[in-house]
Amino acid sequence: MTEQGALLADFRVLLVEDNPDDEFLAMWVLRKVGLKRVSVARDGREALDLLSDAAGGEGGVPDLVILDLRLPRIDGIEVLKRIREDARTSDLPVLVLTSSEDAGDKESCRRLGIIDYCYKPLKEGALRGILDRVGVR
Amino acid sequence: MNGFPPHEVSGLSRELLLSLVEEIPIAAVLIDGDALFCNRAAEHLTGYQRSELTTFSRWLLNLFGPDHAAMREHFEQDRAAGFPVSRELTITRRDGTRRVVEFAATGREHVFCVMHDVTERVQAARALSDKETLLREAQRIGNLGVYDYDLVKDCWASSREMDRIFGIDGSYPRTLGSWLELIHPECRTEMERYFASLLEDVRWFDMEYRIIRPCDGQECWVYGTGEFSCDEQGNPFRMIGTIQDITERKRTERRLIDSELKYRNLFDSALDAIFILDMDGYFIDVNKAGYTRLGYARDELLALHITQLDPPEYAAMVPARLQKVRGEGGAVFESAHRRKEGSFMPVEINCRLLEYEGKQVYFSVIRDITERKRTEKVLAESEERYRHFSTLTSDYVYACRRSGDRPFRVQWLAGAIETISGYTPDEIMAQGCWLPIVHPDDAGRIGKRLQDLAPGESSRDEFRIVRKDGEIRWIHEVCTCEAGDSSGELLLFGASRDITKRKDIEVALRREEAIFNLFLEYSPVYVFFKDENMRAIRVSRNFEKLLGRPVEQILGRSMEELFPEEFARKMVADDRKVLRDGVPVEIDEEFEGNSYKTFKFPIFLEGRPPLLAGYTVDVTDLAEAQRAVRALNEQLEQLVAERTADLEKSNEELASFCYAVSHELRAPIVRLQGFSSILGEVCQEAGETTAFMAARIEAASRQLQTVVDSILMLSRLSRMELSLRQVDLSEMAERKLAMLRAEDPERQVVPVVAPGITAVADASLMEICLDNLIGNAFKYTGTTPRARIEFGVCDDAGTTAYFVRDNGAGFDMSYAEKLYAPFQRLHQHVEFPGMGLGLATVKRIIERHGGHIWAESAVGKGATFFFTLGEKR
Repeated sequence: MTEQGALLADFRVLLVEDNPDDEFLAMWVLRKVGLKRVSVARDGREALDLLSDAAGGEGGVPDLVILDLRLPRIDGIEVLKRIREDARTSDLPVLVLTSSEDAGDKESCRRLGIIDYCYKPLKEGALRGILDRVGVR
Repeated sequence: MNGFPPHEVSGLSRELLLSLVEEIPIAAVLIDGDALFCNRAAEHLTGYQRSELTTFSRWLLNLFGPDHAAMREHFEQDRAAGFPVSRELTITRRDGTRRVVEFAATGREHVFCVMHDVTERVQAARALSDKETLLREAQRIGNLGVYDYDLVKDCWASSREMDRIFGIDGSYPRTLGSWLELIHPECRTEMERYFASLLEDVRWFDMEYRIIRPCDGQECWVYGTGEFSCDEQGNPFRMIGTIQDITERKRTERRLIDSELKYRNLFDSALDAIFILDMDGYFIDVNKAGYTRLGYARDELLALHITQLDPPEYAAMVPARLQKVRGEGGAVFESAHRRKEGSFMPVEINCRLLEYEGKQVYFSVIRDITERKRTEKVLAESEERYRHFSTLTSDYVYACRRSGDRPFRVQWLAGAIETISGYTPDEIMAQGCWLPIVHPDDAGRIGKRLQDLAPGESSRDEFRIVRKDGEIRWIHEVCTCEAGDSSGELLLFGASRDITKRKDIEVALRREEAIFNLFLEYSPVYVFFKDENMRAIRVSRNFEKLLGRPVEQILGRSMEELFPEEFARKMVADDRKVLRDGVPVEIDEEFEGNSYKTFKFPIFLEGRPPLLAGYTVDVTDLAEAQRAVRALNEQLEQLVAERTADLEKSNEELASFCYAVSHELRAPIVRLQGFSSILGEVCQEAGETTAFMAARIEAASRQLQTVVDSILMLSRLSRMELSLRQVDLSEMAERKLAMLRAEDPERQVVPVVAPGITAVADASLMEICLDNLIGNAFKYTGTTPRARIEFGVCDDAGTTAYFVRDNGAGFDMSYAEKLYAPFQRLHQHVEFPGMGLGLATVKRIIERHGGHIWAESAVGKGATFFFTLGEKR
């Protein structure tokens, strides 16, 4: 849950990425824009568990989920679907970051509700734009 | 005074007497024996000198000329009688003129004569008498009687002519009452009244009236006039007038009236229509038949012009026809008159130019010739028929005679002998008989037949004759033999007909029948003919094998007798349908395990029941073959479907594989790019070489990414659904050009975009398409000084073709085909960078829209890329 005008330093991001290289590259850009509180899930199952725990925990769910679509165990679209099905996470901002150019995937994601649909590698400018839209200073 | 006798007259001297005689103004003559003395007055009267009249003989001779002897004799007789009366004598004067004198004489020995010239008196009397005669004649000729009525005495006098007119004689009383008696009883009272009124007013009598003549009781018309004479007090006392016989005139008038009435009756009761037209063609009069027959009232017709009755084809002829009537006084012609209700009646018009009420008129008698026309038509048809028949008739008749053993000789021959044989009857008769023209092959038989004929026997035969021109004719002959008048004499009466045509037909029929029979004998297909009861009447020989019985046992049989019951029933039903509908049918039949195709059709013969004909072909083998073909086809189709499915699947798989490969390629490339990018940043201070190499890694990976993106794009293009809608291509092109120029502000490019170009297409694909084409144009004009890029539209054989034209580097048209293959490049990368996938993509997009793309170019002359979108104008 994000308050209006959350500080960049307090902004929590969950990055769901199975490939370590891609994780490194994404983390590089996230850090570069000044995001400190980034946690990582290595597959869809792990991501959902993390979200579920966080929702029950003290700090609550993160402010943004950056979701890859090709994930082991539960793929990205299924993850997104379950996020939207869970009342605690149904409003959670999700940014899809993928190398898939499948128009069907893009359409499915849009229907389920996402902040944006970005192709890898994540660009600094694109990320800044998204943070602006969720009201991070 | 010489010659005068010296007599004495009592009491007077001779001289005195002589001088007395001499002086009296009366011509006086003294006769004494032959001596004669005349006084001066006598000289004057006769014109002779006294010296020329000295003797009585000379006197007589001079004054009476040839009559002198007769005159002497009368004189002597009168002297003997003592001159009892005076006489009128005619003398001839010396100048030759004649005078009438009154001659008186006295004395015996001496005769004393005096003569008075009475010529004028006599002439006047004669003239009077002549005039009276003329008047009488005039009155008689003019039937003019004259009367003179004395009102005081109530008595009238009448001229002879008046008596004649009135038919009265002198004994008829002549009073006012008796005149009134003469007047016709019907008019008498009126006349009394009229006469009384005349008396009061003293007016002229002027009236035509009828009388009954007493002499013969005839009724007579007279015209009377009269004028009163009045006394000093104005009372009429006398009336003079004339009576004229006008009976004839009255009768004529009567007749005229009668004839006019008769004319009118005749006019109206005439069966023919009568038109009286003025010289301009307008009606003056028309009789009853004239207007009733045309369905008009009399006044309606009289208001018309003659041409209004004629149909156009005749109306045009009217002026010429009327001119003919005027020129010749009359003419007869045919026309038609329009009835009021519009139909036409054929008519014959007999038109004359007549005088009518003092004017020239056309007097037309119009006869309805509808019936005549019909009769004429029937007659013409009948004549035509007769003419046809007479030309068609092929009969001739003859009579022959034979005495003893001699051959028959033709006595009489009539009919179409010349038409048939070419010989005239005379030519035949000259040969004795018609036997010589009989064909040699038939002559013996016919000759014998004729010879064998006995009285009372008849014979008929058919034989050939040889015509005069050598042609052979068939003759049908019927003849009868009879006994002649004398013993041993035979008569032969015959009628012959040319039957060559029939014979020809018979021969032809026999020939056709033979051909037909042969056909039936050897026909490989089953041929059959059935009567209206579906019994076989003719069949081909092969039915024997099919039905297992001889043809003789097939003919006349019903289908039920020949085929299994169920099969026969269906066959007969088909047969009846064919006869009923009159339409051929084709039927597939199965019989004893074999397949047959039967074609049936009706034969309609005039005046006879219809026949059913047809043929049946054994198609067992054919049917087998067809079945095999069908089965094979089905297998083939199945195979094709399977192969197609396989192909589609493998295509699908290939596409997926390609997609997957591209995708799998892309991910590591992107990673490579990411790391090299970070590497570049990190090594900024580490050293120039490292930075350069990191930059190269990034560039190479970017190129790799572009390749993969392009392949992915191509792959996607093949699979994606088109979303068609109206797209503004002009706007799109302008936008691309503006963007390109903004990205590279150094470049001088003139954009020429035709406005309002739209197309029904997929907007996103058209963006890609124009991106590539315009991008290429921009790229290949990079070294062109005055670059110009054009987007427009033109017509390509009825289809809209869009084009992008530049004036850049262009290309060699011999490489045109390679343009669209993926990764094909016509330029070195250094010159014009690119992946070589742009036109391949464009081509795919255009083809997805059902269009095609082509280019025109030359090296250094720019290039034009045309494309269509498969939409018809």
